[in-house]
Formats: sequence, C-alpha cells, structure tokens
Amino acid sequence: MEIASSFTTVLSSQPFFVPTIVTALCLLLTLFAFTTVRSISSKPSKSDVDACDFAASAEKKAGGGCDCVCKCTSPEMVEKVNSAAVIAAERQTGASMMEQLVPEITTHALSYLDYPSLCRLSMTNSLMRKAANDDNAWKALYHKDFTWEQDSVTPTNGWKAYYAATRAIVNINNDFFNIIRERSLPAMSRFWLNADFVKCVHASGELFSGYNAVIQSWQLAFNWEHGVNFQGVNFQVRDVRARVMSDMAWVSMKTFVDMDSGPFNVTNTFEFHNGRWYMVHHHSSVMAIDGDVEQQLVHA
Amino acid sequence: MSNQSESPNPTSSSNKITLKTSDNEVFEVEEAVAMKFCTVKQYFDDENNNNVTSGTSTTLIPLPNVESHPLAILITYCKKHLEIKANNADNKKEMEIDMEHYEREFLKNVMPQELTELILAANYLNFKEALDFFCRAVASAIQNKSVEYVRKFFGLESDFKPGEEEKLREEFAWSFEGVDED
Repeated sequence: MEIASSFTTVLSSQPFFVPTIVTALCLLLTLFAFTTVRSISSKPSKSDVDACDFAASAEKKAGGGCDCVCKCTSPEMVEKVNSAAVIAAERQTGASMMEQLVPEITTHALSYLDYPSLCRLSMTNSLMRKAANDDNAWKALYHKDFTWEQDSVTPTNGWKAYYAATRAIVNINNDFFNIIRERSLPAMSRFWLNADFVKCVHASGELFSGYNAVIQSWQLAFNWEHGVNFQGVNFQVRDVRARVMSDMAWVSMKTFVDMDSGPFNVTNTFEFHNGRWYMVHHHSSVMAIDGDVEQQLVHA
Repeated sequence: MSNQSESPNPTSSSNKITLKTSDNEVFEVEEAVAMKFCTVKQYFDDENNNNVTSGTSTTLIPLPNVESHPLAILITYCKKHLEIKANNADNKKEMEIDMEHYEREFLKNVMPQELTELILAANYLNFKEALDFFCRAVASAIQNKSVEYVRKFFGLESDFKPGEEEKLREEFAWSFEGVDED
C-alpha cells in the first residue's frame, strides 16, 4: 500500500496546511505541466489546462477541502488536449486514485524498476522512501533477479538489504571467474583470505589446504596450457544461487566448459573481513552425467 | 437484468457487447474486445449459462467500478492490440515490434495522472496485457531518471529534514552512476 499512498499522499502529506500546499503545488505543477506537456503540444494554452487539472487533482487529493482553483471548460481546449485529464479534474471522486492502488499493483509496477532506479525513487521524499523500501517490492525484485528459492527466508534486515547483499556477493563470485578467464595470479592472490584454514578442491579431486598451497595450486593451473579445471576460458556459469549471512556467504553454481570435460558443480564460500569479502573455500567437482545435462544446457 | 431497458438495443447484438460505466456511459464493443476483459468475460459467461434455460440474452454489462474515460482508452488499446496480433499471426517478432511501436506512441498522449486511472480500470477489468503495460509504463517513465526528475514526474516535494537527503545520497552514491539527463 505504501507506494499507493505515497504517490498521492505526497501531495497531501499535511492536511492542515492544505491551502499552502495547494498554492505551492499549483506553482510546481504548472511548471511540471509546462515542461512535460510541451512534447504533446506546443501551445501554452494546453499547458495551462493541464496545470489546472493537476492543481485540481492536488486539491482533491488534499482532502477536497477547498474549491477547484480553476475550471477549464473551453471546448476547444478540451478537444485540443485530446485527453480526459480535464474531465478528470472536474470529476470529484473523493479518495485519491493513488490511494486506491492495491499493494499488488504497486509492487508489480515497482518490480519493473531496476535496482538503482528504485534506490533513487526512495530519495525523492519520505513517503516514496517508505514505498520504495517496501519489503514486498524488494522481495519480488529479489525473486525476479536471483532465484525463486529462499521464499521462506526472512532476512534480518529486510529484503532490500538482502537484495543488496546478494547482488554484491554475486558480483564478487563473477569476479572469481573473470580472474580465471584472465589467469591473473595477483588478482587470485588478493581474492583469497590469507589464512591457514582456507581450502580449495579442484575438479581433479586434489585438495589444497592453507593460503600458500591454495595460491600455488592456482599458479599451476594458470601456467598450464589449459587450466586444470577449466579447459579453455569460454566456460559458462549458470544457476548461480547465493545465500548471504552478515559475514559469510556461500554460492553454488554449475559451470559448463566443453564436451570433453565437465560440466562441474561448483561451490564457493566467502567470509567478510575488514570491509570486503574474501574467498575461503572453493570446491569444484564433475557433475554426474545422467542424461539430463543437455536438457540443463537447453534450459539454462 | 434490471438495466436492460436502458440498453441502446444494438443492431448486431450477435457479436456486440454493451458495457455501461459508473458514470452511465454506454459503450458498444465487439465481443472479441470485450472478452479480453476477463471480468466482463466472466460476467458474460455466467449470464449465458443462466440464460440457457430462460432463453433471453444479456447484452448490457454494468461496470460499476470503471469510468468512461479510462474505458474508452482501454477499448482503443485493446482493439489495436487485437489488430496487431491478427496482422502478425505468424510472426511473433514482428508483432512485438509493432506492439512496442504502438505502445510508445500511445504513451505520448497519456498523462501520469491518467496512468493511475488506467491501471485501476485494467486491474478491475482483469485485462492482464494492459495492466502489465501500464505498470511497465510507470516504471519506465522513472527508470534511470534523476531524483529531481522523478519528483517532478509525480509532483513530489522533498520533505526530508536538512541533511537527511544528503546522507541518503551519500549512502547510495553508486545509484547515481549513469543517470539520464533530465
């Protein structure tokens, strides 16, 4: 419901100052109408008409306490505007339309916004902030962008925070594969947590334990004509599923290389230290071929 | 049907359906158009089932939650939708291009205010394609736009306390990358 109310309540957030607000809005909306309606019409008169409409709606939204400041009845204008905006202005329905929008619809509309846009929407004013921070909208966005799994999860800090955390970890997980594609040992060295407990299980089945051993194993892999795990660098990563807690995260995925090797099931684990995520575990193993690999490739 | 006497008695009632809005305007639309409105379709089907025994047929369907203005726009949109679909029955890609083009033109004549009316009407009529389209339209109108533009679009005024907005902008500084020009 938040966005519904916010779309409009914005116009009427303080019913006690209705006259002031209406006046201010008239000015604002005239400006708005003038700037936006120009694309529809080059005639200033139309802008005036639309400004009237908006002023009237604003007044209506503000509780209908005072008379419409202007009536736009010129048939010529009405015809020119070619929209029912004017009619809408003269229709007094009482409750504002935005307030009537059910939460499902607002979530639906917000779910088409990308993450930065939703973030900016939340900065327009406090009501929009409430709407844009609506947990359902962020949950919908999470499911759309990441996974339908974790439906029963209740993130401690809400879905917006969980969305942001998931996005961050998915990006970092992508970095891991970019490092492999570029065979950059310095980058891989920075990527891992320098600790004696980190472990790396390559697809060959070899286990490397401790920071130095793990980094050496990557050095070996990068130096080979073809990497140990990833023959060629054109592998694809699919079905990325991330689970993020406050200072640890694990990501599972499938990697598809070529017909000779793989596909692989991969799990990466990260820990959060000193303001950034570090890899602490990587496990890659050949996926059991049971005839549905091709199907997965098609569906992925 | 108590309202039936008000029906304008359509000439070709076989494939026309009459809709009456909350502000008492009567629209005569082709059955194919009306059937895209699932709420109307449901009503129509129920009526037909009930009338099998009585032998009467209902041509007027009241829409107490829809006003004439949004309905007129929805009917136009629906007609065009069906037309584009029919013209490109064997080419989905072509159809999508046509539809996109039409929708872009369509939005040029719609005020933000009207969009809300249209969403409500489409929602009540359960006209899914239109509801999707209008929700997308609301989103795309503010997608990748600056905070100031969004404020202007919705007619919003900032009510943040001094410093509050600056703090938010600092916190979400990354969200200002690559924003469209107003």
